Amino acid sequence: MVVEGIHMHTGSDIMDIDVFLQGAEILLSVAKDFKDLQYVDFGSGFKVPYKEEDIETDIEELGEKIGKRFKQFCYDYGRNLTLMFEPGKFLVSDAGFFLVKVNVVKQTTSTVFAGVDSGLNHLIRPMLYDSYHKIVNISKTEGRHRIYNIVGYICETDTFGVNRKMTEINEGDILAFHNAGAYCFTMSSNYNSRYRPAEVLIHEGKDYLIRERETMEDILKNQINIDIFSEHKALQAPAMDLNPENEVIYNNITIEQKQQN
Amino acid sequence: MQIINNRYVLDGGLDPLELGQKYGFPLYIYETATMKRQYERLLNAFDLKKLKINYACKALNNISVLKFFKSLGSGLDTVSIQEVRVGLMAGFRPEDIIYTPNCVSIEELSQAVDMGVKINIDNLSILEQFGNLFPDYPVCIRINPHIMAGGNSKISVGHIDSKFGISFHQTPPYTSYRKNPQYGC
Repeated sequence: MVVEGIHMHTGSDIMDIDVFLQGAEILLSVAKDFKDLQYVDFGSGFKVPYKEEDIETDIEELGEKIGKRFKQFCYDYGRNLTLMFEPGKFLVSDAGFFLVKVNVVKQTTSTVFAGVDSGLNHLIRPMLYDSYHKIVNISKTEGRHRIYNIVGYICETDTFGVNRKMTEINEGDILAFHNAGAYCFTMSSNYNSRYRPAEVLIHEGKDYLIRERETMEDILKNQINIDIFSEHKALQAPAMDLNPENEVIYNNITIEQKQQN
Repeated sequence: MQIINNRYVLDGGLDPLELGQKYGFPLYIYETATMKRQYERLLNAFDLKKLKINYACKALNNISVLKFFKSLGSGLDTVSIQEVRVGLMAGFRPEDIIYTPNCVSIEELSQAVDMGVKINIDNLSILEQFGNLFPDYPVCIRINPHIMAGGNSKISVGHIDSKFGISFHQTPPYTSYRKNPQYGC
């Protein structure tokens, strides 16, 4: 076998460059024993800030340190190899926004909810692994600020953000999620038989539709509507007795018999 | 997105609310200017002659986005044979696509061989099977260095208990494959 490359990927969110360098040392210690290498792939995992106070991987420092170490490795190895990276989030996270419309503002005893026309079917990261997405009310840039829980319309707990302070929300306002370029649309689904949204690309000041919003046809596509079920007489409970513990007779069949069937 | 004259604007002065009216809500909007800026920032961070950035398209897999990265000179990082196919459709050359699957069948890896892309293997058992089937096809090996990165255990994939990669402690068995003439060396 010919091994042309050695690779590692440690995961997203590199906070400490020295930890990354430790991984790189291990990778290079393995790589030196393979004589046919063309490239060494250091993966990615560069941290992108999602909040104002978030740490960002210092790419320039990383580049300087890894670059210097890699040059030394190539010198020792005897050949100039290609250094590879495979960034995803670093390249596209901050390039994306997700716009949703507020359907309802709901005041409860403890919270004001803003319920939007989206949910975990379109952007699941906060529910899947507690990611934070900055959310702003782009319908109002000024005015008084209030605190909201931003939630979706899916019949699960699909909370996008808790205790978010933003300009006062009215029903019909548009909210924008930041950092919606990476792992947002690609993780979307048709849960609750909802359509996946459209995607627009802005390039050199022009907007281009790059994916149409789904339609009912997409929901039903690939489903096979088998037509084998005959109409059964509906089983109806007597209106006044809804307790299943009782031996209620449904069209002459007891619950017990029904379960056996 | 920034506030100018009391309204939010996107790259090129476009109004997100107007785009929403035009295309409907909810709506994803992406700016190539930011992608380009980040790509160039990474390139410029390294003073190396041979540096290759492979865009990991699992983050955002629209074919038009892939074409944009191709126009920048990027390669493509893929994790499924379907992503490989979209990459080829977007115009990437097979040698500019690296395919790094996890827990996929040897049949899927065989398809990647047919397509001629770079293949990154992260399991000793698969490496052995692959070497038997395709002794002349060069491979890349994914090593797990067992370091912990990531703010959340679900996005940290290099630790000791991760399903990803071949532990660097397991290179001796690999070396024996390599030295065995049966595996083409």
